[in-house]
Amino acid sequence: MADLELGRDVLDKQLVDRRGVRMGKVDGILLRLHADGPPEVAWLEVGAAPLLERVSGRLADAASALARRLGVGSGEPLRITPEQIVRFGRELHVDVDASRTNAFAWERWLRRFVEKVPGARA
Amino acid sequence: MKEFLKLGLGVVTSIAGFIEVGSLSTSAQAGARFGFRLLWAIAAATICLVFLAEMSGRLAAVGKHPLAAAVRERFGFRYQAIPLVAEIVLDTLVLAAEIGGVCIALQLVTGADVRVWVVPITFLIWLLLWRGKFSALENGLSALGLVSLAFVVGSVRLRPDWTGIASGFVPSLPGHDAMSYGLLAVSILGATLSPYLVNFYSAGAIEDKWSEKDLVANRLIAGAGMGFGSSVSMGVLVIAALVLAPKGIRVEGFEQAALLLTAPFGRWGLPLFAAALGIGCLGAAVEVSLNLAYVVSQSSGWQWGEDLKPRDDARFCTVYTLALALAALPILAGVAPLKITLLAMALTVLVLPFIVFPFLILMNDPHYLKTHRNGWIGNAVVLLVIGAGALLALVVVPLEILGG
Repeated sequence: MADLELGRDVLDKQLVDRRGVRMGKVDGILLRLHADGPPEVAWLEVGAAPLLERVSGRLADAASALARRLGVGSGEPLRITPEQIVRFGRELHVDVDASRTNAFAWERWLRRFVEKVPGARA
Repeated sequence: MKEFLKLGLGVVTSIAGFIEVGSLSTSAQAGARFGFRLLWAIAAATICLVFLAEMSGRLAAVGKHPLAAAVRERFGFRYQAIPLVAEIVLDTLVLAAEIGGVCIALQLVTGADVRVWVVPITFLIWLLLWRGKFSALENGLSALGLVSLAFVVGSVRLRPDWTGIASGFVPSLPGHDAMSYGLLAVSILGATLSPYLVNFYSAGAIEDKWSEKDLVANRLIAGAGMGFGSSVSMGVLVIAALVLAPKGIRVEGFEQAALLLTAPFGRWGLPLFAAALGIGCLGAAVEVSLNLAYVVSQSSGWQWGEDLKPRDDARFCTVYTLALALAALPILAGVAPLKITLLAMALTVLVLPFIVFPFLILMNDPHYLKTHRNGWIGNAVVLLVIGAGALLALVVVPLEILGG
């Protein structure tokens, strides 16, 4: 049993996936309100849009528009449900294979170019 | 030997602090115009940098967080966004100036125009980052950087008046040009205390896999490394005071500064000067481009590291590649590197408090530092120097701009 402050301890925390890969930070936390019963944490979000949304909505829209235009991922932020949280320590370990998710959309998109340069695999 | 190699991180960090285009030119200007009177500014900047580097090394060794990652985690993205953007802008400016510095060094020895060298040099820096391993870069650059000790040897060979030098460590107002004196003091602080050094040192400590066992070594590395760079900077100032000041030569560009080493070393002077300048700027350029990639990746929580294959951290590599391409543009367009440095130095002193303040809070947080938190001396020294520097900058920089 331990308590965590969502704003202080969880938001902006480093995320590590199933394979030990640094997959981003907790860019947003979504709380769902129910008509009957107490609110609950629905999911954690990872992505440029939820991150930039915290500073300016316009910036977030611009980032999403750029990603759509270039065909980077599906444009949706990655959502991590509370059930997928494995361990909370210096990092937040989650049961996700990040390389297949939208958290790695830009990484996959850029890799296509990076790979073609000699020495990229050395 | 292994312990000795760890020194590389301190030396390479100090090269970027003291032996790059901005620091070399401000030290030379300071000596040429005010004799030994501004030695205290170099000493103050050195003490502050030793403390800051030691702290960021400790944060990395104990807290296992590089600075940028810790700031985002502790203060949140909304706070971090401002210093982050400021640092990206500053680093890109500094990178442009350093690329220019390497090109100037090559121009001094070959006579070929600066602009001829921009593309090959930018490509060389990129290639070093693309293929190089972190330890090879840090140790290679710091070994090459030892050539700049020529300034220390040179200043001793000129038999300076040691009591005069000693009195330069006590701040005193000159009888003439108090404004330029103040601006040079700010420039020395701004050229030395670049925020990227602190980030780079903490990222380097993680690349070198430091742990709590390295805390004593960290102190020595920070002290000895910065001491090395600082002695070179002071050597430049002393030589300029002895060689240029009596003849009334002002340092307006590197044509005058290049004369510094001909007095103690004769015809070897110019190639030695060019080698020190070129290597210093190359080291600083490698460091600041890496730092840009570090800061962006660490703030975003991506995979990062100079030792990963580029295909495994494509975003990390993309950041330094874009930064290099962008930074090469102003130099290609013919903007003088010294103009860019002046802007970067003034900006540095103004944004430094916003970067150092959260850093100090982190250094006092047991969550990150456990029992290795800052003592009051460390906190006080850093706050004092940064505060004084920013105040001085707030007074001097606007006056200088108004005065043209």
